[in-house]
Amino acid sequence: MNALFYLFLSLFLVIVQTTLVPEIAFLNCCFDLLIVNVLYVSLFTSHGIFILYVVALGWTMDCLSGVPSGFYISSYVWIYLFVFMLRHVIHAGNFIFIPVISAGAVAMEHGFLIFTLLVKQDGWFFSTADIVFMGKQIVVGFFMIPLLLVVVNKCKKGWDKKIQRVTGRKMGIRG
Amino acid sequence: MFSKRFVFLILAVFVVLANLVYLAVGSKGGVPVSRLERLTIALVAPFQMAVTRTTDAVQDVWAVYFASVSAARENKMLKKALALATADQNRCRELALENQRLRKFIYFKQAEAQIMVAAKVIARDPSPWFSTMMIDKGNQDGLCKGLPVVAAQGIVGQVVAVAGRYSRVLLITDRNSSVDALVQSTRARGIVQGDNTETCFFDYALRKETVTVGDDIVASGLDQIFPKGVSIGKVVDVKKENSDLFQHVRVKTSVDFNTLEEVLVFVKQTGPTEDVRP
Repeated sequence: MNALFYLFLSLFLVIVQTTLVPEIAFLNCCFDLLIVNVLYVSLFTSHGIFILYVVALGWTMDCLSGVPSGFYISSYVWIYLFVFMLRHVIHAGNFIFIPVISAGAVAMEHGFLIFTLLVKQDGWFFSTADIVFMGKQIVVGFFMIPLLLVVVNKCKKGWDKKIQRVTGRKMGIRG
Repeated sequence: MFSKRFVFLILAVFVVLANLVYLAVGSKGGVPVSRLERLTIALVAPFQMAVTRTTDAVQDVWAVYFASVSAARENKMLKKALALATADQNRCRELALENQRLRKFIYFKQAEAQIMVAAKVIARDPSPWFSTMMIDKGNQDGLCKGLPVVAAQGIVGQVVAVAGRYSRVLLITDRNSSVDALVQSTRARGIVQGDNTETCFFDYALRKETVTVGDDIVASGLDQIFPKGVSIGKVVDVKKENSDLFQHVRVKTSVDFNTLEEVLVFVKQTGPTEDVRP
């Protein structure tokens, strides 16, 4: 049932990212929404199997985008591993930790982007506007990703309750 | 012999290096499109299509309301424009007939009919750093990699990946896109290169060529991809640096990619061929 939740969540975010975000003008500084998903599994799950889920997310995004092959897989896996390891050092509920790693995750993805584009174009070609744009995305990520993580967490709790109720009813347990 | 920590460190460095090498190969286009990639596109695209169609339907209802308000005012203007266009059409018909006569005269074959497939835009690139979009036609509709994609206003881009019923199109505004082009009035040649913004660069136009703001840029057809004469955009800025061999020209694309909903894909593309006379 958990798998179903993560499937719906990732499908929802992929579709919003590819159909709605590019259409809405004020969302042009929006970061990659799938980072929310990656951060959620790295912060709130402890099973190592989720790395496969992160790889699947990266693969899907690589297929749907014109980015160089492997860009999203690499970004998501490294974000996942980095946050997963940091979680053991700093408490995941720390109020400053989540905004900082949110901004860090967006910056990390930009780092991979700069690397792939440098290799692709054989040299530096980023304009000041590009750097400003990246900065804006990091700032938006700092404020927005923690809020979205709270929303996803609420949805997950709601989903768990519903599933518990359904499975409880099936087993004849009255709550 | 080695401590656990040392082995872990070596392993970590190896993994990071392997990842960077893979990314570098991927950036150079060394990783081919696999069946799994096509399958992933085929699985996700129907959902994208459903959401896009729903949002389009909502937008249409809104747009129809506002359109009907201004339609009466626009009608008067359009009637005047129609009168002028009718006169132009008559003139064009005459010119077409004359062209036909002259073509026969110089032994040119008539251009073969173009087969075009109409497609709907169902999704955009999730990354703001790349300009691609998904359309709802694929190899089942006769599409393959490399085909040119146009809209009523002009060139849109080129098909770069094809799945069963869906394809990905690289837009001319992408940094990886380039189109061989001409200035329509002066026939100055250059390459239109994407910049990931609404404008493109018109590169390699020699300093001696006359390019002015407002000039139309059209496809030259020399790249063997885009049909000759299809509009690309209008010149919005020209800079001539004293030391440079070429001019710096910026072009605003004819197609508004933010509002683009339908496109045409040239499935069969053939130009006029000259008869070889013994």
